[in-house]
Parts: sequence; C-alpha cells; structure tokens
Amino acid sequence: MEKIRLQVDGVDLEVEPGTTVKEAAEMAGVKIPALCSHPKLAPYGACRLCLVKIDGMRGYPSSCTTPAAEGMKVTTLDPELQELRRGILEMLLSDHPNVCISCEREGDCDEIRAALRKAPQPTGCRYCPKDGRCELQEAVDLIGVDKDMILPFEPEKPDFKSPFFDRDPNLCILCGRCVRICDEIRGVGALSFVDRGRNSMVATAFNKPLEELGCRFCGACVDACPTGSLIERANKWAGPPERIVTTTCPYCSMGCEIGLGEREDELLRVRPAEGSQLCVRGRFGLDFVSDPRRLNRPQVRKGGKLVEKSWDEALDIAADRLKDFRGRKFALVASPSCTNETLYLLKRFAEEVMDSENVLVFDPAVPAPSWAEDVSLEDVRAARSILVVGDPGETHPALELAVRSAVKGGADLLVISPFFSSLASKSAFWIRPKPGTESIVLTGLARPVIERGLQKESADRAENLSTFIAQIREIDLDEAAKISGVSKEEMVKADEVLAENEPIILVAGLSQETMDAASNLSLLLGRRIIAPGVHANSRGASDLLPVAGDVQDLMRAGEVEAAYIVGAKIPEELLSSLKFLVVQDLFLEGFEDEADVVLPAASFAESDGCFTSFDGRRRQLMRAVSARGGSKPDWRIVAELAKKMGGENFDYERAEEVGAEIDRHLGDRKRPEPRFVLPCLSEPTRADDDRPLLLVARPWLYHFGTGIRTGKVPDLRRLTKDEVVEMNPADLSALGVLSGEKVVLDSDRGRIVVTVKADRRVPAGTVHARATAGMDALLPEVFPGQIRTCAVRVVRSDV
Amino acid sequence: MEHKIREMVRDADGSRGELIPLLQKVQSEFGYISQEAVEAIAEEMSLSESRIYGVATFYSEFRLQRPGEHRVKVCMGTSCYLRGGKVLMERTVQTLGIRPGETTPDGKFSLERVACVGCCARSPVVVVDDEVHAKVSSSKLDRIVKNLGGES
Ligand code: SF4
Ligand code: SF4
Ligand code: SF4
Ligand code: SF4
Ligand code: FES
Ligand code: FES
Repeated sequence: MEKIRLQVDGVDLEVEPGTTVKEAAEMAGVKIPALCSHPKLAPYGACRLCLVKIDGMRGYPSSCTTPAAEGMKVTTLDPELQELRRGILEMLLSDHPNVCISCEREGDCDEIRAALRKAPQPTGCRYCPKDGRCELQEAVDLIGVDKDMILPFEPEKPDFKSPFFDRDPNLCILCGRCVRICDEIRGVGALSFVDRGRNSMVATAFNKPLEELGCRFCGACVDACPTGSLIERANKWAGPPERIVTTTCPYCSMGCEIGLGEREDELLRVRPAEGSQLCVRGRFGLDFVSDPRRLNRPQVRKGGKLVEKSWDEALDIAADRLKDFRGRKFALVASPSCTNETLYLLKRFAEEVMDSENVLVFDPAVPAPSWAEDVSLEDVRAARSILVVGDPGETHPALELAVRSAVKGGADLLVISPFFSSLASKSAFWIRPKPGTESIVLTGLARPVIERGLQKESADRAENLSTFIAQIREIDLDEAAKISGVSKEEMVKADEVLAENEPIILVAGLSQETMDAASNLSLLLGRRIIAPGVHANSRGASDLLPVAGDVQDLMRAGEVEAAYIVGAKIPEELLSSLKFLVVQDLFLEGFEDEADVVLPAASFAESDGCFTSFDGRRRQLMRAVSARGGSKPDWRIVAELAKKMGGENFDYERAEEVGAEIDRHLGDRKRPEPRFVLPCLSEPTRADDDRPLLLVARPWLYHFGTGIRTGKVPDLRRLTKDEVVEMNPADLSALGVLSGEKVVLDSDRGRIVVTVKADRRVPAGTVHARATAGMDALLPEVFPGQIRTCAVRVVRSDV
Repeated sequence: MEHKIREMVRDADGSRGELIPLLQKVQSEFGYISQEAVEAIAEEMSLSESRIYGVATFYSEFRLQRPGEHRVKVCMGTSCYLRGGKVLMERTVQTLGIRPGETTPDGKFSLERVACVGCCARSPVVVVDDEVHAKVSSSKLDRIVKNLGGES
C-alpha cells in the first residue's frame, strides 16, 4: 500500500496507512502526553490529553484516534494546547491524591525526613506503590500544572482486595485501559465501568470478587494501568527494584519473556517484559523461588535419617556409591524443566560416566509428529483458520491469546472439546464429542476430506497415503458418529470450513491417539500442526534426549538398582527396586523416605542457560539473584559429580560454554519424511454398571504439573484449595444431591470427598474435575498435564 | 426465573445490540434486574457479567435491587425540579438513607427518580406506590414516610 506523507511539528514523515497521528508523532520522536491510549488497544479517545492541532481541521482532535492522512500538517505543542491540557490535568488531579504533585518542595522529601512508606492508602506519589512508573506523574512533568489550582484531596473510596493485586479507586483516572485490555486482549471482561457521572468507577458486576467472574489473574490490567490504582500486592510497599533482569518463564513451553525485579539480591516482583502478555503462573506464580522450604544444604542418609553434609562430602558419597551401578543397573531421570545445558550434561553423564543408555525424561507431553515444521505464535496470529483440540487456555495461555488475536483478525476457529472453555464459547464452530472420543472425531473428519477430494497437495508426498486412504474409506461414519456423539453432517460441515484455507491444528493436553489422528488430518490439510510441550523445556528435552527404550519398564521390572533423579517426580512404584537414589531438586517432596543423597538445586531465577520453547526457538535464562542457601545450578552439580567419578571434559566455567558445545553437537536436525499413522479406533474409557459415571480431570491453569511449584504460591493455593467438581443438573437430581453438597467420588483406585456443583455445560454422565493433587488418588497413573479419565461412582456424603 | 430469562434471551435472538431492550423486558417482567438475571443473560449471550452490569448501571432507568415494599418516586422533571424537587430528593435520600435506585436494607422502601409524571401544575410531586402526592414539602414528605411505617 502507498505510504502516507504528513508533517508533524515541521518534520516531514512517511508512515503506513492506519497509523494514528500520535503514533506518527512518536516516530518523529515527539512525545505527546497521553493517558488512555495503549499500544495493544484499539483507539479510545477518553482522556483528551493528546489533543493536537491539524491545519484545516476544526477544534483540537485527539491524536490517538485520528488516523494520519496525506498532506496533514500537525502541531503537537504550543501554548494554547498546553493550556488546554493543563486544564484537563488539573481537573483529573483535583480528584486524585495530589499532595506530592502540588508540594512546593516536591522531591526534597529525603532531606526533610526519611520516607514513610507503609501508608494504608496513598495520599501522594511518595506513598504510592506505583514507584515512579506513573504515567500521570509523567504527564504532569510534560505539561506542568499550576500548583495553586489543585484542590486538596481526601481518599474516600475503600479499596478492593483480589488475589494477587489490589484496586484502589482513589487513584483511578478512569482511562479504561484495564477494562479494555481485559475484554479486547484477554477476552474475559471481568472489569467494567459501572454507574454514571460522578459516581462512575471501575468495578465488577455487583461488586463480586474477580474469581467469580472468570478472571484468570493474568495481571494484564495491572500492567496496563497508568497509575497506582491497580497494583500487585507482593512487596507492594517495598519500593522499586534496582534492576530488572529479563529471563524466561519456567512453567509451560510457550517461553514467555518475564522481567524479574531484583534489589539487594532479593526477588521483589515479576513484570512482563516490554510488550509481552503473561498468564498467572509467569506473572504471579514464582514465589517458590524464595520459599523457606527449599533445600539448602546437601544431605546424606545415615542410619535411616538424612543428615547435612558439605558439597564435597555429599558428592564423594554419591560418586562412590554410583560406581557400583554402572551400565543397565543405572537410570537417569530428568525433568523437562531442566535447561538444555543441564540435560546435555546429564546425557553425557549417563553415557560417558555411567555407561548407561537409561535416560528417562519424565514428560507428560505427547510431542508433535517428528515431521512437523515449527509453527510460531506469529503464524498463529496470522492464521486464516485454526482447529483447536483441547483447551490451551488452561495449559498454554499464551497460545490461547494468539488464537484469540487471529479470530479478531477474522480467522475461522473450530474447537473440538467436550467441555466449555473460553475459546469454545467464542468459536462459531464448537464440536462437542463425548469425553475421550476426540480421536474418533478427528479420524472421522478425514473421511469427508478424502471422499470429496479436499486434501491439499502436501498429502501426496506422505508415506502410507494409499493404505491410509483405503483404511479411512472403510470407516463407518455412522458408527463414529454414534460413539462420539458428533453427527456426520457436522463433520462434513467442519471439513468444508477447514479446507477453505490451510488450517493450523493445535492439540494440547491429549493422548497419543488424539495426536496421531490430528497429525493425519493435518497431513491432509496442509501440514501445519502444533502440539506444545507441557514444560518449559519439553522441546529441548525431546531434541536432546530422544526417548531410548522404555526405562520405565526396566524400572518396574526391577532391573534398575540406582537412579539419579533431577528435578522430576515419578510414581513410587518405579522406586521400589532401587538400592541407591540421588535426588537433585528445589524441594524434597515425594522422596523424603527414599533419597539416599539429596543435592539442593538452584532455581531458574538463579541460573543461566536456555530452554527451547514449543516453536523450536532458544529462550535465554538469565541469573537474577544468587543461588539461595547452599544450592547450586543443576548443570554445575552434574559436572562436579561427573568429575568426581573420573568423567573427562566436564570442566566448564560458565553455562554458555556448555551451550556452545550443544550447538556443535546438535548441528542440523533432519526431519523425517511425513507419514500417516494408520488409524486405530480404540474405545474410550467407559463407565460401567458399578461405576456409572465418567470422571474427566482436565489440566488446570492454577495447578501446574505435580503442583509443587504452584502450591508454594499462597494465592494460588487459596484458589485451588477446595476440591470442586461439576456435574450436569439432571445427573445430580437423579442422585438426590443438591448443588454445593459434599459427595464421595469412588474409583477402582481410591475415594475422595469433594463438593459438587451443578453446571448445565457439563455433558450428562460426566463428572468434570480439575487435575489437582487430590484427584491423583482416583486417577490412573498417567502424568499430570494430560486429560485423565476413569469410571467413578458418586455417593452422597454424610459428613 | 432463570428459565424464563433464558427464554427471553433466545426470543431476542441473542445478538449484542439487543442487550438494552432485553434488560428493559427483564425489568418490566421482574421489577428489577437481579444478580441471577445478569448471570443467565451473560451465559446465554456470551457477554461478561461485568459488562452487562456496567450497561445496566449506566442508565438510570434500570434497577439492580429488588424494589421495596413501598416504591417512592420523586419527580425530577423540569417543573418539579425548579419548584423544589431537588431539595425534596435530597431530603428523601437523607430520610431513607438510600440513593435513587436503591432499596433500604429492611426491604421496606425503594427510591427512584422519575421524569415528569404529568402533574406539573401541582409540582413538586412524589409518587408512592402509584398514589400521587402533590405540592409536597419536606414535612409532608416526612409524614408520608412515617405513615408507611418508616422512621423520620
Ligand atoms: S498514581 Fe501516580 S500521581 Fe497518583 S499518587 Fe500514585 S504516583 Fe502519584
Ligand atoms: S487479571 Fe486479567 S483477567 Fe483478571 S481482571 Fe485483570 S486483565 Fe482481566
Ligand atoms: S484502574 Fe487504572 S487502568 Fe483502570 S481505569 Fe483506572 S487508571 Fe485506568
Ligand atoms: S503462558 Fe506459559 S510461559 Fe507464558 S507466562 Fe504462562 S506459564 Fe509462563
Ligand atoms: S490518549 Fe488520546 S484521548 Fe487519551
Ligand atoms: S415535572 Fe414533575 S410532574 Fe411534570
């Protein structure tokens, strides 16, 4: 498209069509005061601070809502404009704490008296938790105010507490950024302007707590707020950090960039890196780093008890014992939250020092097919059509946001999910199979594609095509419709929508069969598929440590006698035949009775290194604080242990040296030729007469993996503490149970007491649950992170 | 009630522009817009509860509390306003301890502001439970409230 030429304060500019006058001015280096506009949000034009003059236009248009046009001549600064702005600002400030702004000796407080910070409510900037990042202050600096014109202000409205952050309406300037970002970007709409005129304020429906209104505690509203009105509670009064260290979120595989605010070697708080949008885990879920329960000193079991030792002693003991278990008798178990550096050294340790191929990365993720090319978040945002299987809102929130932004841009969104989710509710095409039959629907979808010749060229070059087609043609669609509850017509219609473009197929948190069926469909429809790993470095782990043999089987069969477990938790049954166990982690949970040597590891915030995110990109970890207690970074511990056992070439000073070696080692990875996986339509878990309901436990945003890290976050613990399940009202009344009552859930593995709520969105015959530590008692031993199901009986509880 | 509201939403075909007429219908059916009503509308229309609440509180015609046993409407039409309606409203707010649109905690009174009820000649006017009281003074207002069992 043609560029637009205009003039701002006498400077000639060329900008893209669609640029606002304000953005154009910024390109010319002109800063226009502005309080309501935000780079992520649509133009709004509420505060009127950004007004300018444009030759030939009447009045003073707001530059944030006025598109740049050919030949425009814009004036952003003259006495008249400043006067108008000053008037607006003074009006704002008369209803805002202003003692500091109107103080004659503003800024001299340090000389007058030491700062008093623990004010219950800010009365001025000095007592405000915004800590000088305030855009209102900035506007005052740019425009200037007549200090005598500002009336004294008394805070009159009480503030609101939510998990993680507070809302102080006295500091609110009604710019609407919070309301808009929650709605436009996050798709939640938990906040709104309520009431009118003078009483107008930002609030929730009937002042309900945010958690009852679908708020996901992403903190986007807090980050968008130009003032201290919305502010995180963690270290609220502690003042600003000394520096912000940009690093990578340690939870899911999205690799979001986060900024760790550090002062005096303490983590003060987390903020998203410039322009990024986080979820509650990355934004507010990092308390585990400074948790007092973290392992501090190496320990060694002596006479049945763990006793503290120096690093040297503990490593000597570990080295000495491990020597007896070289070869098949040794297994290494690593977590996909370890950095590439750690994983690589662990692999070398197993192979070179322990002479063993038994390396197990304990990962619940079902990876994308190995032929799949990487699809990035930018690709998702630009997609014309997307098929989502599962609920990335719970597992991979950053991916959900990207899908949302594609939909805003006009992409078709199809969702296959038995359950309600925020994406499903926004989708024009929501396919609701019976729980556990997603793979049957996906295989069913292949049939109309083939019959109508809708497949793309990409399908022709894949292995197995003809056998696959033959098998698909044999599929009885009526039968598939019966099992899954999705009609033939619906499948045909879905195919028509999908085949219009090359859809991105996105599979999150589901089984291998679902993955296979989805990858077949994607081969037919253009080969764009994403199956993001559960953990921060799932992708790095599968690149570096391709699964070799089934270590779990060996362990179950009792062939493994010694293990070195780094950052992972594994089922107890795998530990039973061990004679010697080294555990290296932040917390000992789960191994209190089994570990023989315990090595305290440094957290992500205390380590350098990198993760590989779901899209194959390298994400850097930067050390923000020094290792807590006596812990050390994982990679360093592995290298030291290896050296003690005579390993060669384990002398590294810094993580980067390991990184450089990995690059040489990995080289160019060759992708195998794409191939169809022959479909197998296995029956889903069924309820039976004895246990007539199907319990489906879905991964949950607030409880990550085993919950060891998220469980250290007080507000996350509060949000997850009640064990609640949902059932269809019809099922509930058949049982004679009222919504809100306690019931016993009973599976063939165990029983627990939970509160049950009626929810019309839950399919009949199903108990909808969140994967929590409590649910583990009922469910089969599949790694948390995947949807898990089992048959249950629901009995009224008389407690 | 929830069921009825869901039906109303479906009749109104659920598209976004229909929110205000829908709220009007709900109010005329039930007398006010309850928390349950907002929840049901939100679910049926895929709108957020806060958004609906925001719209409902923006227009003075909507009530978000169950009306009291006695509904006190103070006229704020031009004629009444000019002849003491404003003072009367302030007095009522003081006497009942609630703002327009609210209901006393004991459920006895609710207060509304109305625009011209067609009795300008006898302004200022207060309508209590459909009975029009004309030329109301502050003391007359207190009497009316007292007769209905309120303190003043
Ligand atoms: S919000 Fe900004 S202007 Fe208001 S008190 Fe805080 S720092 Fe000062
Ligand atoms: S935390 Fe996120 S979801 Fe909650 S109100 Fe703020 S923006 Fe909305
Ligand atoms: S709370 Fe902050 S973002 Fe929201 S309207 Fe007020 S000042 Fe703006
Ligand atoms: S989406 Fe994933 S990577 Fe991003 S902040 Fe949330 S947990 Fe961290
Ligand atoms: S920034 Fe332009 S009107 Fe507020
Ligand atoms: S203005 Fe009050 S009755 Fe007409």
